[in-house]
Amino acid sequence: MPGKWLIGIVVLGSLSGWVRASDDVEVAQAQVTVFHEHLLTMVQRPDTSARATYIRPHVAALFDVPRIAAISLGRTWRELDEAAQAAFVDLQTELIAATYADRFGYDAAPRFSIESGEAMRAGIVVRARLDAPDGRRVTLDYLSRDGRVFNVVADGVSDLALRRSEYSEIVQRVGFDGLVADIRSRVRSMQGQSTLVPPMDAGAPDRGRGG
Amino acid sequence: MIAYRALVLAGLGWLASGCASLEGADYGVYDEYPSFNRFSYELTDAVDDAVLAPVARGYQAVLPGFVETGISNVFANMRTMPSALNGFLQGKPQRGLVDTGRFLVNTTLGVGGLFDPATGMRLYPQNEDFGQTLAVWGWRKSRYIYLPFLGPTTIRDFPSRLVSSAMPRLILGHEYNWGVGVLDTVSSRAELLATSDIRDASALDAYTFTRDGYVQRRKFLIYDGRPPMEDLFDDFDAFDTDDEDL
Repeated sequence: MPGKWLIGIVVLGSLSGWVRASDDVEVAQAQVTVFHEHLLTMVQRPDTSARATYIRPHVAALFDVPRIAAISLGRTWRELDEAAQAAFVDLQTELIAATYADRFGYDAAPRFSIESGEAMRAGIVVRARLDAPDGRRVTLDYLSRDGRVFNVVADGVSDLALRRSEYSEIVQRVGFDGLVADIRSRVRSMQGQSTLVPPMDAGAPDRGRGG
Repeated sequence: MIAYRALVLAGLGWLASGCASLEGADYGVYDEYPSFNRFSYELTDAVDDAVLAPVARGYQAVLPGFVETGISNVFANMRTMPSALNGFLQGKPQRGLVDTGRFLVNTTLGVGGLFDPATGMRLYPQNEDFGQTLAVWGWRKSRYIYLPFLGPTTIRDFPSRLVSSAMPRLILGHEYNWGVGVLDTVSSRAELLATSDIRDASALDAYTFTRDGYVQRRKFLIYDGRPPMEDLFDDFDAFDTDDEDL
């Protein structure tokens, strides 16, 4: 009877979807595990600049930085031309790498562990834990979509939400160019006099406003 | 994540005025007094940079680690029973019992709270408070306020801040003096040094960073460390659908 075939197709479809979701969760967990291993390697580098240089390509590999940049800027992102967007994405990658390099300046190696992974309707959440050498324990939730991480939530505090709020306030106050200058200044201060980021007077990315 | 002494106010009346905001589907940021809040933040930050933070750093530098930990444990132990009570009020008897057990173990085996054998027994602190209880009871939307020298809070959470600040005085009674109050303040500030250092290193707009971090952290505590993750995908979905609010 057609009804039974239809039910069978629906059940099989659901099961295959569940298997796909399980595979996706495993892939996401593996990606996070690999990134943690790179963080542990990074910690051994002698200074912040060396750490940032090491972790930058791994940041670009794990994180959906274009998506992070777009969501963080919101409406302002749509006003930028492609060149300005690309430049801002590069700057975000620098900022993320510099932040990891600065925060993970431990004398001893921290410990990471993956606690769980869950497929949700909207994406995948990998829950991890960081045990810092100073005894602090932090829950890290990696949110991913389309195979890349777009947000990390540390003890309930969303990096992406913080980023959006801050950028919105700064753009309202000093404009997009002012935001770029602030980010460059912050990256420089975290890395020292790094040659990775040009000094402020080299100019902010051209917004390339059309018309 | 990110506590100062306060005067005791007529909280009930103030609480009742805040209860009008029982609507609201989320625990978002409702910063309806941004000018006042930002001024308070900058004033408090300036005084903290000039006075309290240097004192806290000196305190950390001078005291041996185990002494600093012991002092912190004593004050934390004093605040365990309010956490236990609020666990019960929220209908979470297990959390209430864990905190009760924690208080009993640390007060007895831990010599008045100096030591923390309870953690070794896997009786971890539950971190409940009356603000979380009110949220569980239905008060989800609350206006954010940054109070001078007291720090970030919401109208809903402020009474629990008062209770927490007053606990050493309530427990010690006549034995409480200004020295205990100063020690509590400096010890609390020292515990937050790492957090404030992260803020100073990472934040582009420290006021916004502190405000949003506080609100998100409160939501995390209200949900006992398991906030609905689906909410965090809203940014992704909203951007994809060209939401004008972005």
